[in-house]
Amino acid sequence: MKRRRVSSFRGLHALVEHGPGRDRAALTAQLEVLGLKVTALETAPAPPWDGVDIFFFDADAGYAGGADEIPPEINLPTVALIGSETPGRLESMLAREPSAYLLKPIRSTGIYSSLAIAMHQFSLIQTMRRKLASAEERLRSRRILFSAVLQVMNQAQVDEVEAFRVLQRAAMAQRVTLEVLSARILSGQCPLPRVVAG
Amino acid sequence: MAKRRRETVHIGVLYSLTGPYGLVGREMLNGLTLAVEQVNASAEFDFQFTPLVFDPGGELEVYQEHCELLIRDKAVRHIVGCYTSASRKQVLPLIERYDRLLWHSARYEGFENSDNVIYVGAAPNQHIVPLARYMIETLGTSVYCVGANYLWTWETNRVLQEIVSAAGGQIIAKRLVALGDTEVSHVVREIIERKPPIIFNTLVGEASYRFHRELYRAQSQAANRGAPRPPILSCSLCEPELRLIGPRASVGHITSSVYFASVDTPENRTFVRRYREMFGSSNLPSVDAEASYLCGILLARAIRRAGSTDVQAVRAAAYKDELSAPQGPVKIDPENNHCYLTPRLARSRAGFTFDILDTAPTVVKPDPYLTWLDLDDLTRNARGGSGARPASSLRVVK
Repeated sequence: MKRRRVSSFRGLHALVEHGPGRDRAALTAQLEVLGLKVTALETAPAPPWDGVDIFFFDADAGYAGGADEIPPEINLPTVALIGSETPGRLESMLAREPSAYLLKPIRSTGIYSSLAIAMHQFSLIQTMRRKLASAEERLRSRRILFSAVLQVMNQAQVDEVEAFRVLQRAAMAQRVTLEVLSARILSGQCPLPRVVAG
Repeated sequence: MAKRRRETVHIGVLYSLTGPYGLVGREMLNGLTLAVEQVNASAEFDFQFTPLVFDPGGELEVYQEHCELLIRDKAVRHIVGCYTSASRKQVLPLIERYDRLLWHSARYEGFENSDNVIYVGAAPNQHIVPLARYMIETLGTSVYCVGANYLWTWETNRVLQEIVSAAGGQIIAKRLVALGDTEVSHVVREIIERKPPIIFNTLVGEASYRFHRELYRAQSQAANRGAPRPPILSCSLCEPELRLIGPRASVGHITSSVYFASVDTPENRTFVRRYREMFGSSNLPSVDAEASYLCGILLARAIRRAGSTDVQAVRAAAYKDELSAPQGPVKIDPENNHCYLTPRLARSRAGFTFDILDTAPTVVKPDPYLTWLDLDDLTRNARGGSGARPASSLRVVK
């Protein structure tokens, strides 16, 4: 996600799921002041929602917190609108993984901050999730890399440091990661790299 | 010597006398009316109360409108009112913005403490926790929950679940009925089929009365006769409701409450007598009537002590008061604006009244956030546990 300038949210499309009344009216009016396009619904249809950039939901309504009630995955910056601070409501709100929150009664103050925090937190978490996925992938490949190093050590009678260096050079030459090269060696798709004396 | 003319203090009253929970609203208005009459008839007060009664009819938006009218047009500083948490959350922003005081009589699920509210009704450690303790120690740890689909049910069920799980038991089912929906036959059928040993009921108004009646009818049918009747537990069933349920179906249910009309104290005997004189000899005051009565009396005594209706002065004065209420001693905890109250457990009997089974030995400090809930202590004597049976389920948790 491109890092967004904090100063303006103009042009974003906000979906607000909240019953009609003062809270929803105050939120909608302020989001419009901030240049957002707002769709306000008592009950939003099931996601995904085309073109929606940020989602506001009523933490007081829906989802009684039963085990059989799993909220849909939204995968958008999300802001919880909290009235009741009872643990049951808070648990149900957290299950929807909000990036920020606003306390009711909603007033103009705080909405801008909630937008900034929600967009920032969501982007941060997305980045962290990507990094985590890639780290997990590399962790899974460690065993393969280790086997490839052992093969080079055995075949060329070199130590571990030298075997690793040989694999690194070969990976660079073939323009692939160490893990991919190791997998190719182990599966027989690629011969063991030759150790250059010297 | 001419009698000095007494000043008039206008107090706002925001009770839904009509709409889905109008019965409770009228009960609460009765209690407050009794307090107003008592204050106005007493030479101990150098002012008279004039209540300005508004009936939002259970409509949330109307609570806001009426509250605004009371504050801006009628310039009241003190409002007695609200029953549901949703209605309180509607008026709270106005009460706080204008720095007024809301005297709140209803028990509720907790997790709030506003400087601008005096919470006279029971906090969760004074209603659901003692009931859960009694249940796991005396009845069992396997319970079927039925209730209206709203915050009160969600939260009391959650607390019950936490306590029952800690005691090694389980919630067999949670059945939620839309608020205002009175169709409960499917729940009754399921209970007859599954035969749960205990039922916990948080249905509201007519849905609850129908549930009691239909379950009783089903249990009385030939095929089900002889099967044990599971007790129905609640934190809200009160005397006027027993009458609405009917003479047979209303018997044998267990309620956790800080007040029953059958509390045997001189203060309560006077209270019940005066209530009947004013509202009819067949009527008994409910916990809500007693609590709204207390709101009026605590407010009057605080104004007298403060010598003013100023919110800050009245609040400070109220903190110093200790009242011998119909339910027993009552005082406000300045830490959280809730009250020290006396939890009780009672079983409904024929004649639309309650037998009190257990009374807390002392007043219990309010714990609106259940910060001091100790599950280990609470479940030590759960049935099936190794501990000895306790003398009382209503021990004080410090």
